[in-house]
Amino acid sequence: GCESLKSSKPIVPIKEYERMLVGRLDANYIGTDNCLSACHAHDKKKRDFDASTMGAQLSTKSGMPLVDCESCHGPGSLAVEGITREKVEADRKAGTQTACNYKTLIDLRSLPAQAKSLVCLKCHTANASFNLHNWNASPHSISDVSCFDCHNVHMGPDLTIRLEEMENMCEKCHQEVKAEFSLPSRHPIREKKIFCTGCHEPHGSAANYMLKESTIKDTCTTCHAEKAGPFIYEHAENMEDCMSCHSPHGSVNNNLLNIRMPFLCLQCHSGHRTGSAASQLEGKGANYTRCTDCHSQIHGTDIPSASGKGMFTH
Amino acid sequence: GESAADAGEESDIAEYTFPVIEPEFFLFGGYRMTGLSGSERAAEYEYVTDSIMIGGELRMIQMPHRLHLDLDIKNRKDFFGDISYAYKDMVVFRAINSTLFHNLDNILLIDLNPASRPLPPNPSGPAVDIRDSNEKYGIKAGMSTMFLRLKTPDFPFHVYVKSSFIEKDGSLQQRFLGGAGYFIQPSFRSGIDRVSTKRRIDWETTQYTIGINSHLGPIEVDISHGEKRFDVKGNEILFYDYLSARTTPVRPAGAYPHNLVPELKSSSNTLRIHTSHTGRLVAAATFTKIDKENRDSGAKADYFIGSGEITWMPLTKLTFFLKYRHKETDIDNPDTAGITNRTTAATYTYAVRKSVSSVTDSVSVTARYRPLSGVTLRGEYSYEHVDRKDHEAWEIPETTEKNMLSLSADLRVLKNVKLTAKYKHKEISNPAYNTEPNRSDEGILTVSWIPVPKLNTLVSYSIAKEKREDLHFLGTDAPDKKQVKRDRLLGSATVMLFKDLSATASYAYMHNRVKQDIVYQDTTGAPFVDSAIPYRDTAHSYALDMNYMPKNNITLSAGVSHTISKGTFSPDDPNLTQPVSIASFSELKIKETMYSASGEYRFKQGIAAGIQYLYSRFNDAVDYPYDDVSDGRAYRILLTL
Repeated sequence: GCESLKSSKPIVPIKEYERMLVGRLDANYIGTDNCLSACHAHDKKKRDFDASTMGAQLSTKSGMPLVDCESCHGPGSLAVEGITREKVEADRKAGTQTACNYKTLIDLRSLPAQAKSLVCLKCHTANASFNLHNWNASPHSISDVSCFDCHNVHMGPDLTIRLEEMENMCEKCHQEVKAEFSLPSRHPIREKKIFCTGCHEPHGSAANYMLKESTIKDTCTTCHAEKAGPFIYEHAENMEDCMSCHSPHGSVNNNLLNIRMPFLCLQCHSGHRTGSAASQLEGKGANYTRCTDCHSQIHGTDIPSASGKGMFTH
Repeated sequence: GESAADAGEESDIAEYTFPVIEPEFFLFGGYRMTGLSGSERAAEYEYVTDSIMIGGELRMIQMPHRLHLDLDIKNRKDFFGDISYAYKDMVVFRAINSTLFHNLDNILLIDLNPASRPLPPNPSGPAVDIRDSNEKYGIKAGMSTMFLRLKTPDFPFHVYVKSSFIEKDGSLQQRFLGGAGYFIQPSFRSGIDRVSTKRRIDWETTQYTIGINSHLGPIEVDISHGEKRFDVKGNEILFYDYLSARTTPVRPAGAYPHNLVPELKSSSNTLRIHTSHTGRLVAAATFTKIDKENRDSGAKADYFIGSGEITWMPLTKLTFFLKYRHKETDIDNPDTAGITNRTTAATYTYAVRKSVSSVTDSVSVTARYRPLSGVTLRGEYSYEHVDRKDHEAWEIPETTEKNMLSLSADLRVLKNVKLTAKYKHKEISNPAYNTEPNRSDEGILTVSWIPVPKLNTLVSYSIAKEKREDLHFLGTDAPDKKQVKRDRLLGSATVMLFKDLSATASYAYMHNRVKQDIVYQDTTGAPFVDSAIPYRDTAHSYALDMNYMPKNNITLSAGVSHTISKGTFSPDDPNLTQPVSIASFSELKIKETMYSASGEYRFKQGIAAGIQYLYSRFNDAVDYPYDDVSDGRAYRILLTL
């Protein structure tokens, strides 16, 4: 067998994790034939797997790098020890599936998250997966989320997540975000018109919040490009961080505003002239409702206002 | 008997043959019936019209070709498509289109004294000019993305193209400042007239990225170039007949432009490098240069962003994560800006304040330690330094420093109880804006408990507090304090009532409170401070969902959700509260309820019939005519086969 090879110096330094993925040192590799043409020949898991990208990699006709069951589950000779063709056939005729001694295989479910991910990364470390550039130091990786938590390897037709199922998958952990998407002003995630991966790269990114683009502003202006600028009159640096004023997942206030106008603006800006006299009533209505009724180019403008300054009114 | 392992070695067991996977597809057709009364907010992201629906899914795996198609067409303004194709490992292609219709509000401008009309030049007060009564607004937004990757045979060299195309077509309400567009002393009359009108839009955003990548020994390198354009197809600018404005130079009455939507472009070059992901020491770095330009005004912005991260695992139980990010922002706006009278063609030019440019450096170190099985501890420290240029005119500090420390623990207290706790403390020196605190503290505690195998529960509570003690407003430093408090309580329970019946109930409480000194100008223009003014908003959200499979070919589900949102703002000074409080203009109370029910019956011949029902009710409980929400109800019934 491969005992000497498997117990030799690991090829990379994460020794303990690597050894978790090697499997039993006293087991030998038996090949896909003995897994799939015997015990798993007819179960649904096998059929789904065949139709998946990774399942297709069992076939030389796929033209892709080949894998087999033992690539992930470890050598299987001990698992099938004592199982004969006659027993498999007899069980099949009796309508039962022959149980192998799966405890001798790698216990994938019980592995630490990093070891689980390592099962995938030992192949996907290359640019074959374009989105893993920032995986290792990503918030998901640091928080012990593994590939298995999102990807079901045995499910077809693809290992990627169906977009319409993404919301439910992400919200299993991010329940506070699910609650925000129930607020009156929200992006249409709940309605399944846009998807979490429209803004976020769940495998990690160089930006904060695992955003797909380099900055918050670049992420938001992917869709809201009219607000991207640059403008002659910028709203100080605030335009660089849309979250100064907006809650991107949802808000009780219109337009995803963190805080309702006029208080939103009054946090930083002095309010317009006002007094307690009845003659000031109309002015109050004009100046203390929605500031953007007048300052309608609040994200930036190229036209000087009537004051000759950039007050975002033109 | 002969074991399978032995059989494998002796090759007397049937050789595994990859099965032929027949193409699979399903098609559906149906009819969608809709109804709406009142505000479209009840179905904000739907095109509410009766329509025929079609869709389906195709999965074809004819090695080495793999094709998958998913299509769902509700109507001409609401559809979704997802197609992917792969050939060996040499071609990977995916294109997605999601098109939606976004219903937009027609907001009634507040007009407390309709007698203030007629409009300028002789109104008795600030006038309101509503030119879009009863207009309905909405935008069809089509969002398409495409990814194509080509690989050389037997060598990991890739060429890829990514693109996105976003088209927005429809109409929206344009509210803007009319009159003189400026306060005209001493009465301010006719200076601040407000106008609402319809604006057609037809915007296109196109983005392309082309790149290559490959292995260079243990290092992988990815180089890409991106181009982005924002095009405005007509109606780029609006004009209005303004009164004379007392500026220098004086701007006489006439037709002037306003609310320009400029055409924009940007280019980016990105270099990404990373090592193998599987070593004890893993590193990645990204360098991006982005150049942006406003094609109408010539304003420019250049960015350079460099970031790197290192993961070091000295022990299996201990891992360190080091991240560094450097961002240079260089805004180059013109020194002057002009506005041209459309009638006389005279241009009036004004000096422009330089925009703020900055350099930001941030570094963070995170340690993760697993002392015992089921126990994970994490600690993170981060430091950020912002250095600004051209900041004086904006009255913001030259430098800002942020320090943050967070500690968290994941504990499996019992076999069926998991606890997560996190605490974060942040301090900011010289915050630039009043929205930033001097210091903040945040804590979150989450407990998930599975008391019996068929019951899964979760409770989570978080609280965040921020304090600021040196608020700054233009012209005065008299205001001082600001406090922010945010509360979140979440609870959910999923239970398997019977073998085929499951139910999930959830509740969420979200509360935000801000208390700060704010500033107004009195009638002479002098600032006065209203101290410790509270602002609050609160939401309670309830949901119940049930799924039932009485038979293998019957699926039933139903759900209801109800969210109550409310908010208040409470100024104190008589100038703000008499003769009517400005708080009344922004009081909020909304109740949103959604009911859904669906069922599907699958016949033996591979045919299925389904029905979906969705009813939503949007209730403006304050019912103030000038606020930005109003009542609406909508139903949708979908019949599919």
